[in-house]
Amino acid sequence: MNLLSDFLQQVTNGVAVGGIYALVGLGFVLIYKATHVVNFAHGEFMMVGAFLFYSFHDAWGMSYGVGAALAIALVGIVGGGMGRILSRSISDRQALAGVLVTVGIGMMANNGVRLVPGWGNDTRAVSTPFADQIVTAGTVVLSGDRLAIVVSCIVLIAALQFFLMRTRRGLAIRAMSHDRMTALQMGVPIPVTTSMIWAASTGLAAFAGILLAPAIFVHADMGYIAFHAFPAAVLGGFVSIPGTIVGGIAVGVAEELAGFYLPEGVKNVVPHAILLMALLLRPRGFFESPKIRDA
Amino acid sequence: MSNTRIAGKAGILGGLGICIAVGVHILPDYLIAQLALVCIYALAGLGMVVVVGLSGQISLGHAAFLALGAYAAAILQALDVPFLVALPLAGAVAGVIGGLVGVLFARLSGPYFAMATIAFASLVKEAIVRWEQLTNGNLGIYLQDLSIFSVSIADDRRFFYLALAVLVLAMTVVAGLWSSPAGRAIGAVRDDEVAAKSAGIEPKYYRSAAFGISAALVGLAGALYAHKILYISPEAFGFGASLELLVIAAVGGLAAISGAIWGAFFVIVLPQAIAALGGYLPFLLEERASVQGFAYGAALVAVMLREPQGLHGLLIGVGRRLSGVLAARKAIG
Amino acid sequence: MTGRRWGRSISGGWLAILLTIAGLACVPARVGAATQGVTNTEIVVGTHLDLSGPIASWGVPVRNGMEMKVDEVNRAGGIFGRKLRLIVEDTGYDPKRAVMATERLVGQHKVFAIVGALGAPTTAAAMPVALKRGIPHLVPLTAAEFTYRPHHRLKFSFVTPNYDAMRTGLAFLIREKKAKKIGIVYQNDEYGVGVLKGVEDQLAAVGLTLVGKSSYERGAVNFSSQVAKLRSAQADLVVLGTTIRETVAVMREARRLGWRPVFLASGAGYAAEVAELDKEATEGLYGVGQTPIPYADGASDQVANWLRAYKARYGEEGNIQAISGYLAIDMFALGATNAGPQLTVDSLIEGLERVRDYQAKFGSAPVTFTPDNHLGTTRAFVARIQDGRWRPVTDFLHYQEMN
Repeated sequence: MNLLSDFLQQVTNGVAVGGIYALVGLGFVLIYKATHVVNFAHGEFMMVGAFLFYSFHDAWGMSYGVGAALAIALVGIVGGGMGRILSRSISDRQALAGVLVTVGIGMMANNGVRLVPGWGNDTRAVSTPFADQIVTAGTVVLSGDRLAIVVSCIVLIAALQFFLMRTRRGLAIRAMSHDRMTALQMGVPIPVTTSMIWAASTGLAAFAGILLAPAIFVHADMGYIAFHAFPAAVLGGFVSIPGTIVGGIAVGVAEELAGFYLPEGVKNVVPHAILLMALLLRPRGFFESPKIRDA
Repeated sequence: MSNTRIAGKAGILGGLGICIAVGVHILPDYLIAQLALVCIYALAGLGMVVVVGLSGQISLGHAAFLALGAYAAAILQALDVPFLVALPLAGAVAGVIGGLVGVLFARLSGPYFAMATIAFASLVKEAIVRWEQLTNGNLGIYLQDLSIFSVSIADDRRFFYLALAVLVLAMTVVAGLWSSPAGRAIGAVRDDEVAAKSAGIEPKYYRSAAFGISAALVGLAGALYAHKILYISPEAFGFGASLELLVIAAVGGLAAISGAIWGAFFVIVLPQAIAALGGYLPFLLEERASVQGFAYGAALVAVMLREPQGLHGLLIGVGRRLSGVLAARKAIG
Repeated sequence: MTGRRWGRSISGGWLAILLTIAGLACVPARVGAATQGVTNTEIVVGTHLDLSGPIASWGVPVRNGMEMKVDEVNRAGGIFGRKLRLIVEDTGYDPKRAVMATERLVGQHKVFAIVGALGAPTTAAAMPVALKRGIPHLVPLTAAEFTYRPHHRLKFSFVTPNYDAMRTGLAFLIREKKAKKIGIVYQNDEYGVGVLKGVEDQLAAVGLTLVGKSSYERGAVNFSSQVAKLRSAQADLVVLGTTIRETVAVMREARRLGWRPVFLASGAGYAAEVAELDKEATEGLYGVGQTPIPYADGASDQVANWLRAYKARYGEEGNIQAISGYLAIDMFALGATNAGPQLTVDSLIEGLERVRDYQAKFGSAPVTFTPDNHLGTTRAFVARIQDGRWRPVTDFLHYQEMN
């Protein structure tokens, strides 16, 4: 092993992990942008998606694609409905109450899955088509499930950008995120758009959960990873999609490099140390446009 | 306020004091022991009401100050510092660090501020883990039973009175702050930063002061927590603990200091009550303990959806309706 | 806010306190008998477990195992005619909930003893609550040091300490595998540090030092840098101060890199689930244990019957966690039986101190208590995963007797 290949291997691993952070972070950003609520139940939606996928795919024998699509759709529908209820009961000025509702929903989900027969407190392994494949480039090794994360991250982000920039629905969402009152006056259906955003975000969470399941298994506490994805969202200023991707990958790579080269224990705090430094330098993240700042 | 009003109020407070003293004598020890924990969390909740309610800064990292207060108390006890010195010192340690953090974070707002507090708390936790000579790292610290002037406070009732006294004292101080010019200035910064600035109020100064005061209150609660639980380790002060503190303030209500007490009951007593209720529903709760956590989460959702102003807001509403009915009766009668 | 309004909010606070006290005062206080929790027909025993929270996958089977033993004792007529009644409280891995649960067990439910509590940080906080009130806190299911040190008349432990188990396992593997470069991955908490200390002391005893150590936070998703670091330090033996999922995740990561050092799991990683989660990646893993993990085929009749009964009752395979719970109540029953018909705290302590080489039907490390020693065993065996199953490869060992 030489120094260069060590370094490249760590960077590669970091990008793969960072892709997960970015995917999870994106879910935060979507909802925050539109409703100014930080969804603390995000990790739990991820976990529920992974459990559903486990049931569909591993317990009931559906194919990978069908099982995943069904799990994502189910979580998205529930999430969309939840967003509707939330936005109806709680106004924008009561962001804290909104946050606390998501905390409560998170508790219900975390305890609720333990009550479902066949899920419970135990850890479940899922099988994937690409789990045992290993891709090698020179001396750098990347496993199939990590590659799947990187690839789906790229595809999803492209799809999301297309949806937001090129479709009418996307335009409605952007208008609503930018200025709700004006959007309302221009005829954007706020309740439907809010539900859609929640559905998209929670569906994304379920997808992240399914991608992550082979690597960290399916269990009731797997949603904890959302906590690690906060820094990615913050680096993206909580509003920027490309910013969140860059932020996620930056955090992932920094974490891996710190774990490899720096003294033991540093890795555990690297994401938060980066986050603090970034915020103190740029109090609203690196990617926020001045326009939104004035709004 | 007229003199008769003050006298009436003093009478009510005195009466309540007597009722509490009688109540404490009737209640069994274990309930008193648990009420002490309610007092401690109400004290911490008071700190949260100051930072979140009065100053409008959503902190998700206040478990760091609970930890600082707790570790300060434990370390000072090991150094044989008398409790009556150690308790304010623990509050001061948390308060000073909180004030500095407040200055550092003064430019941040909204979710950026909240995320910065999360990051700060996780750095504090890791620092406690790694500074083994001082904190014994992950193995934690065991405390000795408390005594003041060689009078043992290990007894449940004595400890309860101690916690209650600290709480009442803190409530009085915070109530004074709330109605003081400084308190109004903090509120003005919360409501409209630009207007406050044009009125000559420097937002940065008042915001960090509020953060520091709340950190000191939570630090005091941390010191009492350490003496109550008698074993502290970094694990007890993670993100979940910060979230719990925020729940106290949000559920109780941010508009008034009594919200802290309602919130503490919600966080400490409700899970116990749900568990106790489980005894009557053996088919449900004996089999599936997670039902309790589920019910607690559902209660949180219900309170926040039904009454975003928290339990305090709910009770004020009930009180208004009640006094409305009474007034109507009077008018008819 | 005006003075009047804060006055109102203050009295609102007082009202809150008052109302609750008034409500709670209605709860009748029970009058304790001569020995709390013991009548002519009943013994009340309490425990606090993690039925929710991060280690609920331990708490639930432990409770099941306890219930099974309680029912077994009661079906056989109880202990000198006294039926056992078990009261279980949930702690959710939160020390303050553990303290409150213990206060309730002792003060409200008036338990005779607390038996088989779970979780290191929760038990550390809860144990003094019971001891201070003169209630025995017996055989908690945690391998932390405070369960036996300092010695206390009312506390007993029958779990091999992590420290001793790790030193023993390491001594065996260094001897057998001629390992020279030892690394460790451990969880950044009390449990992980306990494992680390055992490893460091054993290495110091044989003149070695760790070539690499790395920790992780509970809930971490990625172990690639930890594994890469140990690999580039060319570790030939990696100790895992991990729990079930992380044990598998670390071994998978190593396999992905095509790196196969010898792996040694601590007592928390010695669980059937490790092999079940990924049969291929965990093949060859060593672990230290105290009670052999039973598999239905190949078990003795007694154990096979127990496994069948467990599955019939709970719909799941009986695992090592359930056995721990079962053994905790078994140990209490043995102590209470030794105590004779006059059951008091003193007679129970004396009864337990007469326990010699207790192994029960699962073939655990023999437990002996004496008046001076309330740590029942320090021995452990080494096991290895072969064909997806844990198989003991040594007898009960202790590092001090191994040179």
